[in-house]
Amino acid sequence: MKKNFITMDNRYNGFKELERSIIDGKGDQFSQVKNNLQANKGSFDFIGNLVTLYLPQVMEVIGRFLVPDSKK
Amino acid sequence: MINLLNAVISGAINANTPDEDLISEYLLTQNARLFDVLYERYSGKVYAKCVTILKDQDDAMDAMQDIFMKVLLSIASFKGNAKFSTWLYSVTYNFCIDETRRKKKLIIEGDEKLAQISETEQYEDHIDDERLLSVKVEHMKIVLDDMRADDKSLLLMKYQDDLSIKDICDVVKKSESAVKMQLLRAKEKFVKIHEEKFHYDGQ
Repeated sequence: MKKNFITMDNRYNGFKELERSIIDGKGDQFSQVKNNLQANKGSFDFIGNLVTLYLPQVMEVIGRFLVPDSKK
Repeated sequence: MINLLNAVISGAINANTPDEDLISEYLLTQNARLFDVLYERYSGKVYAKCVTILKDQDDAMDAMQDIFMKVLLSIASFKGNAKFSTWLYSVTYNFCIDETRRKKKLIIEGDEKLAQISETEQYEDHIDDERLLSVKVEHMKIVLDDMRADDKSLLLMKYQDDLSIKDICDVVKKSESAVKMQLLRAKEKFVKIHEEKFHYDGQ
C-alpha cells in the first residue's frame, strides 16, 4: 500500500495534502473574514486618529493636575 | 514603490512579487489592496493550521481573523530579519497554542524538562521522514487530532511549512537541541498513534 502512495519523482506529502483538503471550498468564508478585517481596521484607524488629534490637549490637561501649583 | 502600487491597482502584480516589497509599500501608502494580496496568499495556510490545532472549523475561522488583525496592527514592527511567512506562522502557532492552553487549561508536561535538555545530549532520529509523509490524508487528520497542540505544531512547521530547525527555534523560542528532541518525540508519538489506530505494519 505504501508503495502505491509514494513515487520517487513525485513525492507524496500527507501534511501538505491535509492542508490542501482543509482549504478547498472555503473561498467565500475567507472573503467574509477579509471584509471583517477591513471594517475592524477602519474602526481602529478612526480611534487612532481621534487619539492623535486630541492627545496634545489631553496631555496638557493631565499635566495641569500632575505639576504642583508652586512649579507653575 | 509607486510602480508596485500601480501594479496592484492595475492587477499586474504576480505571484513572484516578494511579500517584503508588499509590506514596505503598504507601510508607506496604507493601501488596503496591498495587504489584501498578502491575505490572499496566506489566509488558507493560516486557516488550515488553525483547524489542525484547534480541531474546530468555527474556532479556526475566528482565530484566523484575530491573527490577521494582530498582524495588520503590528505589521510596522516586522523588521524583515526573517521571512514574512515565518513571522506570520510564528504568530499563528503561538496564538493557537495559547488558545488551546486557555481553553483546556492544558499544562504542557515536560516543558521544563525540555528546557533543561543539555546541549550535548545525544539522541538518534531513527524515524524516516517518509514514514510520516506517506500517511494518507484521512488518517493524517485522525492521528494529528490525537496529538498535543505543541507537538503537532512542530510537525506542521517541519513537514507542511518546510521551516528549517533554526526557524522553528525562533518560532518556539527554544534551543536547537530542545527543538530536535521535541521533534523526535513528536514523530515517535505520531508513529505510535498511527500504528495503534490503523495497525500500520510498514507494508
